[in-house]
Amino acid sequence: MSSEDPNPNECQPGQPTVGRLAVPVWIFIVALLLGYQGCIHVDQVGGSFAFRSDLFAPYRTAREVENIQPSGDDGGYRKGEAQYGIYCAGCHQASGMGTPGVFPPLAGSDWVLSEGPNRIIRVVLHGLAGPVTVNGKNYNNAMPGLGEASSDEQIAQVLTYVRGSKAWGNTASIVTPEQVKAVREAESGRPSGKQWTQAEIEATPLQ
Amino acid sequence: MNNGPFLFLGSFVALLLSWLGLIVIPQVQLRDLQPAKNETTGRFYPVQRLGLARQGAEVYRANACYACHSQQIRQTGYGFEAVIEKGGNDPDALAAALVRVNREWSVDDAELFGEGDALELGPIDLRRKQSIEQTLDKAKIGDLEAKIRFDFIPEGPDIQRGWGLRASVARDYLYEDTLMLGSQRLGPDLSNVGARLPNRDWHLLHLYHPRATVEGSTMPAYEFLFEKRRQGETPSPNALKLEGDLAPEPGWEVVPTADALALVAYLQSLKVTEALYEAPATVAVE
Repeated sequence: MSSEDPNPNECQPGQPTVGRLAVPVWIFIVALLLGYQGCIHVDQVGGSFAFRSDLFAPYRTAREVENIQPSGDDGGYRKGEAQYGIYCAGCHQASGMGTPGVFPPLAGSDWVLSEGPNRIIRVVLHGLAGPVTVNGKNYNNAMPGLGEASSDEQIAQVLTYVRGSKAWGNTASIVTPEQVKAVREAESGRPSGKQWTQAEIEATPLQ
Repeated sequence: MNNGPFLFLGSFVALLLSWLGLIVIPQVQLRDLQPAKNETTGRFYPVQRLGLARQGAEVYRANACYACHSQQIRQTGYGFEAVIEKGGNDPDALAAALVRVNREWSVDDAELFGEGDALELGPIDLRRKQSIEQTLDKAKIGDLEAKIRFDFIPEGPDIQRGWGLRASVARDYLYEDTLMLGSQRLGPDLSNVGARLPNRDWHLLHLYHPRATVEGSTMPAYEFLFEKRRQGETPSPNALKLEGDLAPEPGWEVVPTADALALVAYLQSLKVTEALYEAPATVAVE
């Protein structure tokens, strides 16, 4: 082998050479821009990757969905409905119809739909025992007072629901915590656990 | 070179990813979905389709109605409309407060608004709504016993066409068994057709001869869902009331088959009239 032999690894003149990249650079740039755009899109409509079933386009975040809900100023009606289910529906039933002959109805009841709520506030606060006439029918049972265990707000909410329950057809005015507070103060001398009787409660003002 | 294991691994990973993305993740997201209770009416939504309407879903499927009709409402945005819910006891003070909301009004303009009127401020977005609320709070309209209500208005081309109230969401399809969403709209969207077109006779006539109810309709006639037969002693109560060229010869009548009645019951059951938490809308209470 003489030193004049050409190096086989060296390019021969005129032979094409390989550049550093087989793909033009602009394709990478376009791909990057598309990827960036895609990330922005997912960020805007993807609900922050929260695994939620209550977030759909066009809403972007859970907070936005919360903000656009119809205002909850219903005088505590909805909260009252939940309270009713816990404390009252056991006897008075979810339908508000009570149990004939045992527990009096609230739906369409003359006690519930009275002009002012003060008497039924007293009933909820201290309970009611003995014979009672509701819508012309006689009942004789005992309802425990819930005043010790409940706040003014809770009682106002549940009575707002009971007096205004659309499902039952009741349309009386709402009850405010202030009204409950006023009655509670007026009856502060009454020993706890002393239930009302019909005669006693009919002596108290409605409004 | 043996590329078999690579090929296998590649296709396995591709399938695994699509299974995760299309099956597992949606399952995790949606498995706990329940019907929603409307607190005002006490009714649940959605409800299972029963009886004739349920049979009608199969007729809908068998006739490939989903090939031309979709059942999905798109929504692209939303806005609010301010409405005077309570006028209050002092119209002058209310008008003064309203002028602060829109400075282009004069007091005389603002006094024209009464109880129940929409303020027609144009599309109000969430931020504008909050600033209007602040302005009204500062004007102390609460003391006047006045109240401005903000109705939520979903917006989008489908809603503009009157096809639906709001975006369709997963809960709408809770009880659908193999959902017939549809992919083409050669005809209008049907997700709310039961509320839009509640009349049974309209649907029957439309199926029998689409051009009789909708001029220029491109829908094929489904005459084979009807039977032309001799009238009995008394005309059938279900017989179509056909007029003009369509009317059968005297003594004959066109009556819908059980399939046609089921299909119409199904169409009447397609109703999206409830607002949901995830898809709010202003809905009139029945």
